[in-house]
Amino acid sequence: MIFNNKKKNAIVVGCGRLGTGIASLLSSKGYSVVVIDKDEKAFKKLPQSFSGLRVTGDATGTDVLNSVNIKNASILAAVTENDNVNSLIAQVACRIYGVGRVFARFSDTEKEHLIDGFPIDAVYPYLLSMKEFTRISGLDNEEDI
Amino acid sequence: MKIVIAGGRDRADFLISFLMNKKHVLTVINDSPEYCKYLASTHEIPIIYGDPCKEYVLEEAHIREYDVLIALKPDDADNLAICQCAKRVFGIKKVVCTVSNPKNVDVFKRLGVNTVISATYMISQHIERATSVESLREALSIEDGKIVMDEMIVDDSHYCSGKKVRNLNFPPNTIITCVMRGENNVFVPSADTVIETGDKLFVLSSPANRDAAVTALTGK
Repeated sequence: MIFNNKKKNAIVVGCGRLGTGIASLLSSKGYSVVVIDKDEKAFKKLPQSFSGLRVTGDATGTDVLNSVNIKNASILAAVTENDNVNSLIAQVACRIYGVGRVFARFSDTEKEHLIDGFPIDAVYPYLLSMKEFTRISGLDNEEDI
Repeated sequence: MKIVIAGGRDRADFLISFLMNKKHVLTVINDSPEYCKYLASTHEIPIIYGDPCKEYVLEEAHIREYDVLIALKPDDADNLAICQCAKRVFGIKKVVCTVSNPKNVDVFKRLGVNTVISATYMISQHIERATSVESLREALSIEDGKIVMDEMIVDDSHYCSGKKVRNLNFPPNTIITCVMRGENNVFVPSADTVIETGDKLFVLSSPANRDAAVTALTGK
């Protein structure tokens, strides 16, 4: 247990559909997961089997992040519905607390300019959807005019 | 200077008038259509309607060669996004924002915002000053408290009363910057100045040497 102290702690900010999915995945891989959302009702989406912690609070304040021991986290995923909030939390995690792996979800692809050069992995649902649409529509095989 | 003001309501209005009086060139970006209309009717400056958090809105505002951006939105995360976009995409050298959470002052500075202002923080400081009854009180905190200016009214019980400045055991990195004697007599003391009862002293120090400076003056 001592050896795993730093390695297997994960924080998920934003308990929407993606946050719920990521929290469950991390939990199934043996991580101790803390899910943070400012709305207590959001935790209803978590499956009954989810054994991690649920913390109600605003993670754009360092008080909440300190209260969940962010210093001991190895993974943080910022997946609220607000791009700017995700950018802020992801930057605080990697640049101030030195969290090793940091993920952020952005609806607006231009937000990459805010985190360019920082160790943050961004997920863009728009790009993923376009890629999938292009693939399933078969349009990627048609020639451009 | 060329200054962009992004977001904000009453504060923006006051700031616009204030900066225009100082002959700065201003551009305003605001995401409230009514407020934009109001500003356009009261000020003769470019008003851009749109959310300043969006890169394309900043692009439309042509702010690339501007000197300063001030972000005044109520949401801290929005202000950080605006400041970082202005700096990283549009090359604006100095970015300034307000924050609601006083603890974000330090965080935002570490993330690259040049000046971060928390109204809550400043008001608390002012209230503390206003309610202070001690002879010594903090008058000003500079560079986030790395330099402190104290003011103190000398009374008979203080060690320094009647003594020359050179005879006070002042610690390093502290100085009496200014003495106010009576209503209108303000002067910078020399080593030979004799401190009198009733003088108001302005003492500049680093927080580490502050207590020693107080002891040197009061003898307590």
